[in-house]
Amino acid sequence: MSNKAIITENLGKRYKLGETLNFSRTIREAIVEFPRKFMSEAKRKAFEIRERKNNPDYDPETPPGTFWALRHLNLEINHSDVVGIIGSNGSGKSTLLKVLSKITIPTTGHAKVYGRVGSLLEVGTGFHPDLTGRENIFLNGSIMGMSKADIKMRFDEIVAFSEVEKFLDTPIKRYSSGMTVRLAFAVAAHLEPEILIVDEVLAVGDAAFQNKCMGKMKDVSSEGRTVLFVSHNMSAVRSLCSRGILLKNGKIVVDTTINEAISHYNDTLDEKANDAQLLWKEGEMPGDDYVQLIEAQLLSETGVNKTIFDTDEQIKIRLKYKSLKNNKDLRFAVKLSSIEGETVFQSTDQIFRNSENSGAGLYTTEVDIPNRLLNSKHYQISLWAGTPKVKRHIPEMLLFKLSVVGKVYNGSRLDDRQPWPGIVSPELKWKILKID
Amino acid sequence: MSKDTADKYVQIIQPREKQKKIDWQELYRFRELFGILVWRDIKVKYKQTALGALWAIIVPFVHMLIFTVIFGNVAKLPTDGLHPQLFYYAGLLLWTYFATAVSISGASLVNGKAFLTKIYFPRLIMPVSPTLSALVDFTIGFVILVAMLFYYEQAIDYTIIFLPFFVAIAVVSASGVGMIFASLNVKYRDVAFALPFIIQIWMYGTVLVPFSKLPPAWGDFRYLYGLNPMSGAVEGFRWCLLHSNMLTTRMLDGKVVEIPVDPPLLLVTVSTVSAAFLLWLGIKWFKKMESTFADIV
Ligand SMILES: Nc1ncnc2c1ncn2[C@@H]1O[C@H](COP(=O)(O)OP(=O)(O)OP(=O)(O)O)[C@@H](O)[C@H]1O
Ligand SMILES: [Mg+2]
Repeated sequence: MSNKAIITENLGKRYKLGETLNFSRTIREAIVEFPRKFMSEAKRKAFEIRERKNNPDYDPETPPGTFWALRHLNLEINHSDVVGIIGSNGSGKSTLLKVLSKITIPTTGHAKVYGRVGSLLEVGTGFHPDLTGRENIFLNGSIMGMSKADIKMRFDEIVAFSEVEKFLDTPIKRYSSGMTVRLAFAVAAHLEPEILIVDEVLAVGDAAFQNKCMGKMKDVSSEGRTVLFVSHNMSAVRSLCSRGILLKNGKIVVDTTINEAISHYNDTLDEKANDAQLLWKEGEMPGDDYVQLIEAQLLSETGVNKTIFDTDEQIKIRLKYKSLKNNKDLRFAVKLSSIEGETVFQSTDQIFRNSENSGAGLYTTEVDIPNRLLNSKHYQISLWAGTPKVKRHIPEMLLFKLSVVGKVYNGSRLDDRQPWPGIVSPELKWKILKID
Repeated sequence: MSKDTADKYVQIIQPREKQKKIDWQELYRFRELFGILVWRDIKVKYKQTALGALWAIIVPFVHMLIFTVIFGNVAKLPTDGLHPQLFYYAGLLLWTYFATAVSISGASLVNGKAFLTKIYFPRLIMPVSPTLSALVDFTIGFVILVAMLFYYEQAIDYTIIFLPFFVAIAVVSASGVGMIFASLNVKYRDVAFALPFIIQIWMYGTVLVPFSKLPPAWGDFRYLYGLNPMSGAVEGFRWCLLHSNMLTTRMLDGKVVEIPVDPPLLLVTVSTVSAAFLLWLGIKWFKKMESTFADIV
């Protein structure tokens, strides 16, 4: 009898980039792929060598338009390990959990999982708004893998934990979002799988309830069950887990104690923070005989350099420059675009320049991008400077790459972890009026 | 929790090539979920609608009235010597079951997106459970059919014992067709628009023309009619309820005479095979596409 709970060998998951439904691409792929299917092994090798000569990045396992969300993952997790999986957005955490809970299949390698897996990839999955709380407990419980008998046995406990006794026979569309989450988590917390997989459930609910959830998860782990816990909340991860795995671009960076993994993670964040400050030496400064850029910074409201922002934070761009001429028409302009290159907006400081701030000298110019505007995704910021009709002083140059993370204010009550499409996701005010 | 149970549930997770068969054991383990989803569909339907169970009657009944007026009274299409009301209602009742089951089943994966991307269970449950929950409506509509039998003084004969068989053909066909459309719908949302249209046309091809009125000159080719599994199901369904009054025309000594219909044995056989084939195809297709559902839905 082994003590292993999960073993993975060379586990990999490849996804397609972009739209899956693209006829011209599908046809093109077919034309390229089809002959390869019929090539003999030797011919294929020759083909690949030739291909690699033309293109040093050529990788037969990564056809154009695909990428690996997980790759070459070798993991061993023992029973009663409590493992925190951390990493930046898109590093493959959820993908790993999805593969382990059989929601999606891997592309390469395999995993062996010993014991029943219960996954809280999203609490309340399968809740039906028209059914009552009571009915939903049964529905959700069996979707999560509990038997009817189990649910009956634990029914009172579940109800007590959720604190919604009074509303048990009300359809849950009448529940507040907090109540729904409570009920959902209550069901989930009473699952008793050998291996519990938890992805970002703590992002919802009020503080008291979050504490309660943490307590429950601690209980689960102290009972000796295996827990895989994904969260961006480092203090939660630290208090719950003993082992930590840091993922980056679908690969394991470190697999060690949770404290070391977190400090590693913070280091990689610091590395990025350095990218949030650009400083040019004399003689290398971008510019000309009108203006020279000395420094560019990406800052939080509190003045810290960084490139990862919460959707709730303002993003400050600060430019330090030397003006060599009195020039009221000078403009610095920034452009925010998605990482794929689509422009989100451009903005310039020109109309803010007046007789007092346009002489020769040393200046800073700064601008705040409001919070609750951007979507949870990656962006880039570029800059140029010029005097209209006279001269362009600094041609467009890329300054920063930044990531926006966290809850998106799209108005949805659900805390969708997969952000909604859109280059931005501004917080908009809706007004619902009863007219009859 | 003990290591013993842990050892019992060893799961191997691997790329698709190596796992395409139906895992019956697993399906059995998830039987309660299957039951709960059927129960949910029924419950939600009757909660959301003001008329609730009445819809199960209204749809085939109103269709029947329209058919009776247009095809029976105006176009004077033959109805096997039966009251057009009975002829059409019986056909439409079974058809309505099939149409409802197929359209809910066909949309099941897309509507269940949250399930697909968040939780594991045998996906096969999703398109199959609507074919059972739709039987509730059928049963309610059937009560009206029985009332109509009394009203039109149509004796119920021993042949009624074959009725479950013809309903089963409909269930099997609906599952097969539902699975095919459900898996197509994941990738091509066009299905959502095409399906109602296909079902509509399919309906005319099924309930309007009785087998006995296909030109006798076509000989045995007429049995190809049964390739539409619902035509055998509907024909058999009518026969087992109404056969004692069903007449067909035959050429006898150069004269057209009306004689009682034979049991539609051969036709039903063709349809049974066809339904079984559709189920097989549906499962095969579904299993082939299954591994991509969560990624592309
Ligand atoms: N169904 C899918 N099709 C295509 N790409 C996908 C799909 N699901 C995830 N991806 C991509 O796989 C990568 C890894 O995603 P994953 O959800 O695992 O990240 P994560 O580490 O959980 O990030 P986060 O911290 O934001 O939750 C991302 O680049 C994501 O865009
Ligand atoms: Mg994630």
